[in-house]
Amino acid sequence: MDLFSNLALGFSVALTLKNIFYCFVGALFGTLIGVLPGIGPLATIAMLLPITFHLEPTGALIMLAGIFYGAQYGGSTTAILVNLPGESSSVVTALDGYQMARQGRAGVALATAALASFFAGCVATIVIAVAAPALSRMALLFGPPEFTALMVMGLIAAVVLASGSIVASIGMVMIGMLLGLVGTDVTTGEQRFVFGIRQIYDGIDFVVVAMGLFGVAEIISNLADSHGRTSGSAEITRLMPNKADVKQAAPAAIRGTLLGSLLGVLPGGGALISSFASYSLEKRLADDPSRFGKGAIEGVAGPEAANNAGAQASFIPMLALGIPPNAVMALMIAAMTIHGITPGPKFLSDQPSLFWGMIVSMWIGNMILVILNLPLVGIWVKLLKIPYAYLFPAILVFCCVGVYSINYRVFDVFAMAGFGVFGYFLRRIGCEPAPLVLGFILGPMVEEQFRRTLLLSDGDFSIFLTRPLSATLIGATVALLLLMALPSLRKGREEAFREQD
Amino acid sequence: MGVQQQYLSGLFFIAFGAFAVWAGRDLTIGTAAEMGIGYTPRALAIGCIVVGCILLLQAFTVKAAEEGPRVSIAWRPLVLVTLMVTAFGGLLPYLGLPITVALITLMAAASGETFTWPMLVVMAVGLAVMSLLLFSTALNLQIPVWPF
Repeated sequence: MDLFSNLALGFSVALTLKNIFYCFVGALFGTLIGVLPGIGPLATIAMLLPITFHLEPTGALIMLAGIFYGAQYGGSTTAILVNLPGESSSVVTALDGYQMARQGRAGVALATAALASFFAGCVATIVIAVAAPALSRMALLFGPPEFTALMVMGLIAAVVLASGSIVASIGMVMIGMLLGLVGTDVTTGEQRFVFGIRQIYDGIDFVVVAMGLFGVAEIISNLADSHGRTSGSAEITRLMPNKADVKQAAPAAIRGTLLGSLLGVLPGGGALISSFASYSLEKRLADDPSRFGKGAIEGVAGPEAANNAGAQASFIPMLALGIPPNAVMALMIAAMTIHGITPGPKFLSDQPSLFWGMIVSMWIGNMILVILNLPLVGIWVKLLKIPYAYLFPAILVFCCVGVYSINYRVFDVFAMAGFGVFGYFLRRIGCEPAPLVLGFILGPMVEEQFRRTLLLSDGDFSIFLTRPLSATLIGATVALLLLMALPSLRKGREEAFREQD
Repeated sequence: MGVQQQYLSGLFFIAFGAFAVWAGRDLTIGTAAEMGIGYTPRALAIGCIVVGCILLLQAFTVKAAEEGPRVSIAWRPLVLVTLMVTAFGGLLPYLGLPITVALITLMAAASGETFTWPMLVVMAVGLAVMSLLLFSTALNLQIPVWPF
């Protein structure tokens, strides 16, 4: 079968000493930065981008993927040990994980998280290997109307599935798209919104935006918020779960994996929604739901498996269609573009060794994470005890050097400062910046496909509804929006996200 | 979202949209069949204004009991972090990486967090050396290193 020869190709790429080393370094640095309180995967990847700049594309991609799941994993560690989830997808892990830690079972919680994530990672890798090629073959049938409809659906789904006001999030997407359109228009070569600033003639750099909104703005928020400073953390004693633990955790991990693999592929899906869904599923299935929130091991195993599976499955639409399902994947696209790789339907057929090498390295990376994290837990604990006064200048230096080294110009550093202030204000007025980032990447793509569609139809908007595939996608989008307008569902959505506050 | 947040974000979206309409006033709009470069930006800008109006409308209709959190700005970290980043950008070309890094690390003293001077100085020197070794030596990034 094709799959095996493809995977064999992947192993031959990923198992070279050099690439294993890149994978290891990526996972290590990803965890190291991801463990720091208040820094999510997005900021971690943005900060560590410069260390991949000088690598060749395969090595760089493998390292980036390593950084990504390292950061995911680091976030869970912080959530369990100090109840400070670095990102929203490990919020649910903190609910029961931190309680386990307080009962002296921090080691067990960490090991459960690691093993559940590893299991989920293995399954998700296979899911990617099967689903991505199928999806990219399907994408070859897509014309401009279908791509437009698909991207609009992705944007709307991302907004609905995220927390916060839906109206404001739609607004953030549009602001992101507007910012994404700044610079020289690809089709006509004319300039838009450049205000005579030479440095943005090629558009605003995505890394500058992401680093400002997530790196710098998060540091400001953490300094303002006393939670960013508490560092009372738990002692680690026993690591390995016992028989009873395994019996409770294993089925939860399996259910979480399935849920994550499914939800991760959906536009707007990914780690966040998967972990929330898994937590409520486990709570519903449990014999005694009142144990949840008091250190139930299923409440760690399920969501951890789900968020890892979801995070990896969200690579599928990114790699196969070139459409990022969430903000982290948008950053991955930007990072790949720096290395001259354009993800999309042609990526797989044009560069099979790169694609399959990356897939297999994800599996290796997950294994490295388990090997790396269980013995190194003690170091992460120490890292969490460093006072924020010493920590934040170091993080800031990483952000500054990272942004500076994209184009070697100080303009980008100043622009990052500006986006940092912008991001902080957005958060204060209740607008989450994640949809903005997604809109920023998708803006120019949507415009191009939209323009082509209407050129095809000679300005007739009904083309979106007369082609069956695009009509289905538009229908699904409208249905999604209507569902959210129903009062009962809206209440359910608010409740699902309440645990986050 | 609290009521005050809805007011402020509503005004923000309207202002942003209006600014985008103004900034794109000279761009060709064209027709749907032959879009000019101003077509999508104008549509998005109007979209922003609509979103802003909806948020304002929601803010007006909420009962007083559901007012939600009030917006507060932590000026000290906001100003300090912005200053640190701009200082990095401004000083780097003249002082080089290690000295710039050490200086902005020392600026952290003004953060209001608990710290001790000896430890902060150790941090500053350590970060300066580390950034030099990591970014310049190991990763070979073309960053100015010394002031001369």
